Amino acid sequence: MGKVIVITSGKGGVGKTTTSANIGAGLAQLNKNVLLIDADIGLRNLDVIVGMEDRIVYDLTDVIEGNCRLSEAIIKDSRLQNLSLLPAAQTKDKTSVTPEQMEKLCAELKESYDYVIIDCPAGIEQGFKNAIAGADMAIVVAVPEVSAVRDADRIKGLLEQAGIKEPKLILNRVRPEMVKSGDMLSLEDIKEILCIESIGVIPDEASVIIASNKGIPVINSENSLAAAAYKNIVKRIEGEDVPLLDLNKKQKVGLIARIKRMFE
Amino acid sequence: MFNLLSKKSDSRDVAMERLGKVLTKDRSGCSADVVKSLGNDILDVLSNYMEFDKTKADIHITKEENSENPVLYAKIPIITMYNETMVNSPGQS
Repeated sequence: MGKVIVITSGKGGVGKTTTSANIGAGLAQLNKNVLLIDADIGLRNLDVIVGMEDRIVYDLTDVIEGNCRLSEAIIKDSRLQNLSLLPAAQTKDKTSVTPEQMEKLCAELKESYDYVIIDCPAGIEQGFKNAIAGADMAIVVAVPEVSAVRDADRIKGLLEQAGIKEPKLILNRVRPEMVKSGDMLSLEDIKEILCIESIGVIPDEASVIIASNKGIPVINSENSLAAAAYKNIVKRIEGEDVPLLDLNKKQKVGLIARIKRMFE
Repeated sequence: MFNLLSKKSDSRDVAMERLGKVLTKDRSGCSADVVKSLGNDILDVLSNYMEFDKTKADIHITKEENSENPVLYAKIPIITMYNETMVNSPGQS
């Protein structure tokens, strides 16, 4: 029996889709059978982050409405054998699916996948309710800004009310030099304010944007601290006890390595 | 010049303070000022019955898991309870 994990945040633009893609790809690399579901009906994006946008024939709404079989809508990744995507419809809206239908679908998918990762839309309305309906566990993504932390607090409350206990935090786009100089909220600050356990911290790094340009999850990039951070998160999801990445230390090593390369 | 060099940025502290206030309001449904004034009123009443450490008193409204409604939390370290002759209850005159 697999596990359904919803990636959510409340606020838009904090990195839910990127996080979904990287966690999915990372778990697939550990030989887990993974299905990514884009629950952002009407504004799909997970397909472009994983580079599968040209291969979509059917979508989530088609499956729910019975226009196609489940296997016809699911797209397999060309690089990672164990990774698949169930895309969202682009021309429908959030009301084309109900929470009951999502719950039933997730229960069915858990039979054949080790992990089902659901990319939740921003907001707290029907799209959110659909995305969390069949989830066993939730990951809340936030960036170190007042607005994102405030929304994360609201989402945490709503998840708990819906019976999804102890959601985990991923703090995205952290700039360690700003934390150090007193100009950015730290992971510790946010954990304390939200009373939440964290499952990882991702540095604000150019590699994430470069990877999204190419449609390849950043977790596959070499010499990327963000990739290392995502790999650690995946291990923690698998139950391994991995210490938090030291964002300061690793960056210095990276710089020295780069200078060394210049002289080679 | 010396001031410029030694000045440490503090926008993180400002963010923490603003978050604290806004989350208090979001979680309880009322503003930090209202909670503060409610706390002062509660302490006023309690002072008729006991001597307590006002500096360590903690009164806030919070949201608990499994509950839709907020909860009023009060932790007040008591120094001495007044005995019956000392109690200055509003009901007795």
